Amino acid sequence: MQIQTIKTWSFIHKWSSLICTVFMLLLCLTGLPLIFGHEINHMLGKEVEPPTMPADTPHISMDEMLASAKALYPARVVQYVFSEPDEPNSWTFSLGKTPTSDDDTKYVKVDARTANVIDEPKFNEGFMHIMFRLHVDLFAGLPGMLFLGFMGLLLVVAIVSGVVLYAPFMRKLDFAEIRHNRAPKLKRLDTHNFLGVVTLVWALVVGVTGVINAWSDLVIKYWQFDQMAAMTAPYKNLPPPTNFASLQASVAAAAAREPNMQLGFIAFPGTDFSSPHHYGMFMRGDSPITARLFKPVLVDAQTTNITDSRNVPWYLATLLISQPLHFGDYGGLPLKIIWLILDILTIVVLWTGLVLWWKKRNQYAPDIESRIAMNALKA
Amino acid sequence: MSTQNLTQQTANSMSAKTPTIFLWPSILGSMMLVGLIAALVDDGGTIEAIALILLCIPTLLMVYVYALKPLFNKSFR
Repeated sequence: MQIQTIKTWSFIHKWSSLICTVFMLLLCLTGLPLIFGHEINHMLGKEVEPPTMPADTPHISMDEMLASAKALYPARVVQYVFSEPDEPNSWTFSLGKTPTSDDDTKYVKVDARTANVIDEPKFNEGFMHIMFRLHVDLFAGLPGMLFLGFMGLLLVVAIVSGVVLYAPFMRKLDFAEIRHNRAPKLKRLDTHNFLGVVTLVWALVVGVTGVINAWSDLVIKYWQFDQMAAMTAPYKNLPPPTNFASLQASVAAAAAREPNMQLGFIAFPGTDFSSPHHYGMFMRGDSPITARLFKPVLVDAQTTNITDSRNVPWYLATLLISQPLHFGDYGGLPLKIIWLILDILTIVVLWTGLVLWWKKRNQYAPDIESRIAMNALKA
Repeated sequence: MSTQNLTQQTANSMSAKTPTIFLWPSILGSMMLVGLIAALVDDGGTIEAIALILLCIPTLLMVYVYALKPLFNKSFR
């Protein structure tokens, strides 16, 4: 490797890391509680589970659950209905002022066996909401998401340049050697190199999937423009319906179309994931991958006929598959604990890198060429 | 020998050692990648269990390096 090449990579590593480090520390710190979001919400009493009943208790009609939710907010419009894969005995209804409004949305969680209202979760407030917004968009909406996506891209550059520089710095050391008895800065450098190279693949996977997720809003918008518009094109110039068919009958029609899939969520007519004429039934599989790959089934809201159904295109599939690899929520509690440990180790890598730079910046630091020459003379 | 020649020689020797330097990081990285993907294709089965073990190995290595290895070094010194 040429000296100039090492100097160039060193410059790339230093500046790509420095620019993104503060934001990466923020993302790692806010990511910690998000890994255990489900558990923390339970602990804070923010997630109420349906009461225990015999396992074979049948589910009642979706229409009855819809009536229960609407009874609480009769002036509002139901936008979406969704359920967690690990909690099949409840459905949560979101109700807005209009089908597409996203301010002051109300949520109503309904027991799928009794149609009783279990809870009115507040997804838009509290500690976890603050952590989520800081992690996703810094409370700045799409510009915030894209900015953090760019920081993620710099992290990827820092990781790749770090790998290139790993060889020159480790040539005289064994793998995983930490010089405990030497100066603190050498111990810090060894820790940075060791933890950095061991967590490399995880950091790269989480970094790249984070960058992909930063584009999620734009990817979904493009999917709506590209696919949803084509699926609903035959209804484009028709007047909006005034009478709607049974929701349960529409769900049954979608289930009959995709018998090996489960219902993930329903987009009501007029929302961003349907048309004024359709219920958008989003079906999912039962493995960690297929549970994320939603398949839209459009059901005519007046007749309950299926009008279109197609697999998600590659760009949306990439986004959907990247999400579990970023969140670490696909292997139960053991995987969450591993995610927690790797997240903390990444914080250590970021912190030691920052301290190495900070301590060095005011000291005499021979350039890399001189250091290599000195090392060679000592050898 | 000029400094420039010396530095170039050293730089060349670095390139020669690179494959061994990256041996263990490559093994660990492969384990982690296989673990991450394997856990994604299985839900609660044997493959997922193996995947989680693979993902635990780097963590165990760190426990060894930072906790056990210094302890052994002290004991045997």
